[in-house]
Amino acid sequence: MKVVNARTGAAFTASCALTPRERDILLAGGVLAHTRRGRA
Amino acid sequence: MGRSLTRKLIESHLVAGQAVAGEEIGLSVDQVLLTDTNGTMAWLQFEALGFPRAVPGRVVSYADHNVYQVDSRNSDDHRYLQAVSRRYGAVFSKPGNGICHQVHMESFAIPGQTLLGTDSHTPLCGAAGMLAIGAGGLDVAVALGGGPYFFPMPAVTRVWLTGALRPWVTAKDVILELLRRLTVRGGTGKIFEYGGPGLRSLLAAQRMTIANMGAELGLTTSVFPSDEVTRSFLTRLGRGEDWRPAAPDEDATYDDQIELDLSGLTPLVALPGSPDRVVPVEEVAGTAVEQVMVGSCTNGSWHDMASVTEIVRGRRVHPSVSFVLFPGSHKILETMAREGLLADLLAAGATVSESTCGSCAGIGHVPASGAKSLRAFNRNFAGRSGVKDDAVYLCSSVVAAASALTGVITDPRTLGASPAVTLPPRFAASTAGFVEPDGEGDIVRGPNIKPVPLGEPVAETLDAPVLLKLGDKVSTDDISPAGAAVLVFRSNVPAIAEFCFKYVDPEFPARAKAAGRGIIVGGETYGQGSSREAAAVGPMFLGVRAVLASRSSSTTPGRARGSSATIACACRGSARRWPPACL
Repeated sequence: MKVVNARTGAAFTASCALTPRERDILLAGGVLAHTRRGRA
Repeated sequence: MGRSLTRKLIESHLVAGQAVAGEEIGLSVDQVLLTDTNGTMAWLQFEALGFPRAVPGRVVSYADHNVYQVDSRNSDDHRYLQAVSRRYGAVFSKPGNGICHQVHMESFAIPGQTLLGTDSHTPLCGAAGMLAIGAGGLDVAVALGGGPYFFPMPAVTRVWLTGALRPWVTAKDVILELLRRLTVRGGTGKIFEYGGPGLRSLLAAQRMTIANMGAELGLTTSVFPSDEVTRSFLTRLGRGEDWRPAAPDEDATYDDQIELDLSGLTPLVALPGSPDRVVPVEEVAGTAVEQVMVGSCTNGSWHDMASVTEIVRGRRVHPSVSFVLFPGSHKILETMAREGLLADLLAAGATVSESTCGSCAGIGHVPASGAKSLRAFNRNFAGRSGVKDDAVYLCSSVVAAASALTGVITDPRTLGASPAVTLPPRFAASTAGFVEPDGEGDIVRGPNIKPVPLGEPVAETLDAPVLLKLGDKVSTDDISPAGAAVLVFRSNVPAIAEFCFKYVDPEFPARAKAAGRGIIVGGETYGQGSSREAAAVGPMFLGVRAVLASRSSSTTPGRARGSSATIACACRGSARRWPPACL
């Protein structure tokens, strides 16, 4: 991911290692939402 | 190729992924333990998920941290815990029945099984050949519903023990030595599996101390084989039928190995601030202390209590010292009464508390402002004892007892012959502190029990101000402090969020709420220490949407992911220095 300091414009990259399952959780809005969706 | 015991435990419970170091795996969960601090929220989350009943074969709710019930909010939580346990199929362990890890080891540990707990010291049951892991409350809530526990497959390090402990040297010194060598970051992403000829000399209680405090190394967990020592321990508790052997193959391979000669160890002390600031006791001998305590989930065993009793019997606690013992369980306390230990302790001037671990996290027996406290406990992060300017030293139970007599930190070897501790033929068998579930009853929620806040989906782009810039080794105590005044709100996220970073930046909650959303920048190791759900949920509730750090503690990513989608995992920056200058 790219991190930008909006004030100065300086930027750097950072990695955030996620498994597909973890990515799905984040996109769902957390484990509660993700699990509820899985049970529905 | 031979398999380690750890690999056997993992592969026999593997339901998702491949057991390759670093790959995400999912394990089935045989047993679950919950505490009154983090477990209350886990039960609320379990209810929010809509599961009809707890699925794992053994689930136990413990009221062990905040047992004093100093106001109705504690009592409300305990009533809620007892009611949900009854309804959903968990044994309830009453306040005073003991500290979850000690009690679980005594009453429920079964070699070869998996255990997931809402407390970072859950690995204690690894002393009985279990794979026991501390996790965030939401991970535990999912496991209660029958879901697997997901985590990165750790590297497995064999800790090869040789020799035997010398007089006045204890299991606490073993784990302090490992902390001295490896620091609190040294175990991240790893499981330590203990082996070697030195094992034979370590009692179950000593293995428990080592496995327990592996949490301070950042380990996923620690594993000991289940052998004759384990069988003897369970038999004394009347549970011999639960014993089964668990051991690595003779040609087992490991990712790494550490060698430790037990004969070469000496009594050690961790200086205030972090459990890895370890020095020989001689370096701090003579330091005046006002408070000495023995107990917590690390040093509350019969062996600890009996050692202390042997040292203080017929002597008198120094007038300037408050000396408090916390037996790890009701069984131990009852056995102490039956075996005559209590009378000698009381005669010497010791205070014997009911079984609780609360004071380790500032719930009761808070030291005087600026006072030095010497503790046979596990953690000494600044402020954890309940007062901001604390100075907590960590040590073994025998160093603590010797120091309680003199009023200064004392090398116990100066006392002469070390105490001869014998195990009772049987421990007390009382189960009066347990309440079995029957699937019935109403669930009453006190006014301090609030609904679980929900996260929001992560957007493609996050535009938010940096709310707080931190240094290295940020503990969950820094993020969401311990202490009775805070932990009473464990089931009330809006209230507990107001304490976030209280000792780091008291203005943080107001600033975060005013901003609406924001980012925290950490240094190296964000979120070490207690598996405190509030350390993730609190900042999320205040609007924190991401944490940027060079490394997170082993349990923190799970906590962050588990609590909300709005706190991203810790990131490993590409910049050579961290945090990058532009932040």
